[in-house]
Amino acid sequence: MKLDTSKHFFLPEDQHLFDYDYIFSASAMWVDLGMEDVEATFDLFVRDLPKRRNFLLLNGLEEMISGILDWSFTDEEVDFLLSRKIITPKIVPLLRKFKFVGDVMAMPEGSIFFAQEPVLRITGKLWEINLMTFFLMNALSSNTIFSSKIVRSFLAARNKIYVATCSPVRGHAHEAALKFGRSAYILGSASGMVPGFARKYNIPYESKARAFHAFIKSFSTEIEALRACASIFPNSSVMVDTYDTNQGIENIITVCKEQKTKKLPVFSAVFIDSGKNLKAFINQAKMIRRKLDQNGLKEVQITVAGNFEEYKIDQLVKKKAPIDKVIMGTELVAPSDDPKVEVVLKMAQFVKNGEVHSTAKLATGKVSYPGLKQVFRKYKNGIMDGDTIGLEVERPGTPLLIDYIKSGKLVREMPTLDQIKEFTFAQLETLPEMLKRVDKEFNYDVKFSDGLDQLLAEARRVHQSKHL
Amino acid sequence: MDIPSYIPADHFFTDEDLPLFEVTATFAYCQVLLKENKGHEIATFDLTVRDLPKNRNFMIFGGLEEIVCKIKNWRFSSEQIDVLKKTGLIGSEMAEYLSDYKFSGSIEAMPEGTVFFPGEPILRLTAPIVEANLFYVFFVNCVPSYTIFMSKAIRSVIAAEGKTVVSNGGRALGFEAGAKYVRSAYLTGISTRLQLSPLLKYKIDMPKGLFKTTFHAFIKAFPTEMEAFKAFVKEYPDHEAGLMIDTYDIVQGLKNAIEIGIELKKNGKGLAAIFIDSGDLVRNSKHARKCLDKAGLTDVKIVIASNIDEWKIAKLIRAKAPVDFFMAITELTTVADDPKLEIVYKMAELRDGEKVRYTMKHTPGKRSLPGRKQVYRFIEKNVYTKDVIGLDGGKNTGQPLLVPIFEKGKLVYTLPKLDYIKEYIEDQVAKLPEQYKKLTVQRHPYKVDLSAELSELVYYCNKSSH
Repeated sequence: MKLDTSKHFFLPEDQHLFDYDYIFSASAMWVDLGMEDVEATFDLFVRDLPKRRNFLLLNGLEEMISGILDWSFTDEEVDFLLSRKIITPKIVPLLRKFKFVGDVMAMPEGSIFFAQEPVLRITGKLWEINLMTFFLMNALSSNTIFSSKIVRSFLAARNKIYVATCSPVRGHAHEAALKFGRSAYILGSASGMVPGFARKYNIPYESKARAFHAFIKSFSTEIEALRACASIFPNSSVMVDTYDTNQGIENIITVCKEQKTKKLPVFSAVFIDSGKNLKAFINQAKMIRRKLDQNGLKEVQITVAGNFEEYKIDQLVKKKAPIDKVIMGTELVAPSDDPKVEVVLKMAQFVKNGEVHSTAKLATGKVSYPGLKQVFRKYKNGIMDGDTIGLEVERPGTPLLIDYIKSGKLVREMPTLDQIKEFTFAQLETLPEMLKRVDKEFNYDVKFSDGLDQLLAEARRVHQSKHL
Repeated sequence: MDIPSYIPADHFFTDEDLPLFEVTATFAYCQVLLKENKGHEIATFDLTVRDLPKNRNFMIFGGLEEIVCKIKNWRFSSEQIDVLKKTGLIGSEMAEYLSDYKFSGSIEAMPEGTVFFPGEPILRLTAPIVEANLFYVFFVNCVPSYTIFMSKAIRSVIAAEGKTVVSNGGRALGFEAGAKYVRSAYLTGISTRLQLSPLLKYKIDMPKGLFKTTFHAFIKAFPTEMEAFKAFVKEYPDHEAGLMIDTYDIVQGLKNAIEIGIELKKNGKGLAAIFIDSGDLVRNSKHARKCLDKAGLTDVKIVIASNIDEWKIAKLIRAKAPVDFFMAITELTTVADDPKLEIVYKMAELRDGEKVRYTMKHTPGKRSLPGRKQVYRFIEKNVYTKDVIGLDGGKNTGQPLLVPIFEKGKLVYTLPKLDYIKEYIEDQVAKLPEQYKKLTVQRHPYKVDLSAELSELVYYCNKSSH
């Protein structure tokens, strides 16, 4: 049987047609109507803050910038669009030599941002930007959902527990798991759990072995499995609860003592993988800590896993549980408390024959503002103290959007993952204490400037006058 | 300034990423097994969903096609083996093993699209212990996406009571998830005509006679809504255009759309549909229908969008809202009400020649079952009555759900076409007891029993572990 094995992952060649047919039709129509030189500015933003998030953390910019710079169409793709009558002939030569030559401003990757704030502003030919709608929305939403979820666990751990988030399993497909791993790395999580991740992003590798349940079960007794592990990976972490935790910890202590006699390093951690509830985890951890200490094994750490997330980590810290490390996966990679962000790409203005037209959406509850925007942040003693979404010409604070692409050229050095990580932690230093909590008790102040409000009012007036 | 080399050429997950996308512990562990001369032992693993997601009554299995295609071609390049060697996780034994690795095991699985319940093995893999361990991360990232997408999407199809649900892969957790969502939604009977590349990728026919939509950015690029509408229907005059009526003001938008509709009709053409994307959906759709009908535009369809999910569809149906198409996107692509799946891959037995060791996990709430198992489904008068998890080849009746896929490395299964899977799902959902098709979670879940033989084995394993 001949298998078509190429179709299950999302490939670079799937990218440029990953949009509605009528998105292409619209661009073709604009070109037909002589609007090919109309310059438009679009804002990429999140409409509402997810209900359980105090802030969002921008991830995915690297992907968006390189995606915009590389955007093009193969002859095959153009022929397909034409043969299915999705486009008309006039746009064909334009698509064949597609190269984005506009401007992009954005917040740096790792920025803290809020609803309604443009995180990326793109200016170029209307018909061109239109074709990237889906790409920009999806690249922002996936990466940012992960970073904005993971960061909560880091904040909840308050440096008391090491959050080793990077267990990229049970994701919404492999790419989501990969991107989750990237966001976790940016937030300081260990990268070592999946070699394929370190390989893809070219980052240093942290070697970690672990005796997990299937390993232990593949030997006839637990102690045999532990001894086999000790002989090859003496500093691995070992699961304690494959059969019975009380017996498990005795076996681990026995093997650790044997290691010490042989002057070998001892196991680095005891791993608790199951517990009926949080209390059960804490009690087990206390018991294990006591026994390890009694046996002179203070250096052996305690690691837990089992559907942990920020709410539980918050409790572990508050209850002073003797837990050194938490491994997380499922709850973060498919964040059930807030799995979606309402990302939108909205046109703010266009320039036709030298004349600027402000554009706004006026639908109730879904208003989008016109104008060339900038996001300004105020600080007080180094802490964030209110944002204003304003017009570029206003200056109520430090502007957050900076130039990335000008006339189709990259004008800023793209950071490495480690630089993004550094920037992220510097950002978190400026975060008000109230926003670091797991619960939402406080709304950070984000307002529209007077200039923008006036422009919106004007757009309304202009629109109404056309209907009179 | 060019894009620096430390930025990957693409941010997608490709075949190159696959074999090393596995937890490090697995490679280290396999190295130990080979060194301890345990590599010849034959392990059987089950892929199982431990708990029913909290808002579901049943699940639909997806991902088998991908599993077959990827496992058949699973290889390690010398570059990838070097990466592993550099990490210190593997030694020469494992490196040698991987260098000429080719799948040699057996797999039984439920066909793609099978309705299943928690605790049931959906896939059973029997292979030498080292290779049985290589696919853990692959399985638990492959099956959840398709499975949660289908298990979510089918609920909207059921709620719509025969009306069309339209969807696409927007705002999903990544592009791959978006594409897989499109495939999954298509299989459950959702109309997924919208995005082009998934249609090409999965060879789904582009449906004919579907309308094209004016979207907000298109409308905003013209001085007035009316000019935008006119430009659009000039290109698509013959029952092809769907007009979004709420960019500025829904009352005026509807008037404009009706004017266009009347104009087209006069010329022997016609408007296809109007879109309502905000506000009170019941009231807006009823009002729009009334106005359209009054203007003689009875054939113009109404499309509803705006965070639609199965609950909103049910509400609109109950209120007899005159909706022809429900457009459900973000809530479905992100599976917002139940985004995760507790899928586990657990060893059930280990054979060393004639010596069999049964393995199971005893932890309450996390139990895994021992032995080589099969799932049997009982049907009475075309309705499913219960499932029984039993031992393969034991004394069982009922229809076995796991079918042979690979036998000792050889593919023995013919992968069905998408439309066959679609029919298969429709047929099974028809046989599902009515109460499990409801949106509310049923207090008494569908019955899944253990066979007497399996219960005995569990009892025996429990006893011998203490």
